[in-house]
Amino acid sequence: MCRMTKEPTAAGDQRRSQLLRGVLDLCLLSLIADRPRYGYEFVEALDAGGLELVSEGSIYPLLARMERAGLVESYRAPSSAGGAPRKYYRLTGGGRAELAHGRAVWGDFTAQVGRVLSPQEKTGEPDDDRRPHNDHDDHDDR
Amino acid sequence: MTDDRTTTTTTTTTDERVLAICRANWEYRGIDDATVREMLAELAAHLEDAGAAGRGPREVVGDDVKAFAASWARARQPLRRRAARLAALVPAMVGLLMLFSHLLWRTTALPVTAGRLALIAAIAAVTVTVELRSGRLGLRKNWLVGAVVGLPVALVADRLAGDGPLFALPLWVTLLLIAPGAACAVVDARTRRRAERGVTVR
Repeated sequence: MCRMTKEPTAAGDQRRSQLLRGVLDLCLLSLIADRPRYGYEFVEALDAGGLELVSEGSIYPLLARMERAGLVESYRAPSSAGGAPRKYYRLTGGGRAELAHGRAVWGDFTAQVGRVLSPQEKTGEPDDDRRPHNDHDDHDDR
Repeated sequence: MTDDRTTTTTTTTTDERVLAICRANWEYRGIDDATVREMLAELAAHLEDAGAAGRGPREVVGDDVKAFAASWARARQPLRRRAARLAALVPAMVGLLMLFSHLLWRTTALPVTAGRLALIAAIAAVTVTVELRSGRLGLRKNWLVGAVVGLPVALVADRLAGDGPLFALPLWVTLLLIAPGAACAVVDARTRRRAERGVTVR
């Protein structure tokens, strides 16, 4: 009984993790578009949005790649929480364009996946108007 | 049971240990000094914040600290740049060891034996392997590695290949080996001073 309830959850977590990995760069860009942030603030914001990272530190290689690609830039500034200065990331013009493009792609993609995944009434037969017609088919139907 | 295991791993992998392993991995992967310090500061701050929120280092870097460090290093600097730095630093380390031998034997033409080469190779291999797993050994442990691993290997190599010199290494070659690494060290020191004066290093 326990197995039956645990396995789908684990599989679900794994799928969520994989899906998040695919769009984590866009999530980070979107969070910086809101305001400049430092590393831990990304994790907090993702957590607050219900997106929990398996390994929090995985944002750093991603941020480094985005910085090298010129999508974000960094600067050091005192943290609002106090303590040592933090490395903040902010969006560049290129990052803003990438975010806009990524949002459009994500919107289209989720709509398409949603259409495919949404439960539909299955009759067992394809719709008549979508079904390819030919003489052979007609003959068989008779 | 699972909780016990989690507690054990969390307590054995401290923030300091994670930082030490990352530092060693980044340095051995050819990341420059200023960038290593910047990455360490960023990671240290994150570990501290995560700790304050009740999350351990494993939740930050995952189960494999080395893989995490390697992934960040690859993302941070291109291989070409890291390889160029390593190409300067590795000969410099060999050169420094040779310079030490020049001074010890008070000669400008150091006889290089199979044992001497085996000594350097053995110490380097063990040191790098251990430091990549556990962080910096420190001077005392490095000497211990030299005595426990290097000397026996050198003796065996001398016994097998003979203790006759393979070639004589002139002092100028030794200095030439050190030069590129010394240039890197000077650049690192200048960058460090600039950073300490508050200039942002990117």
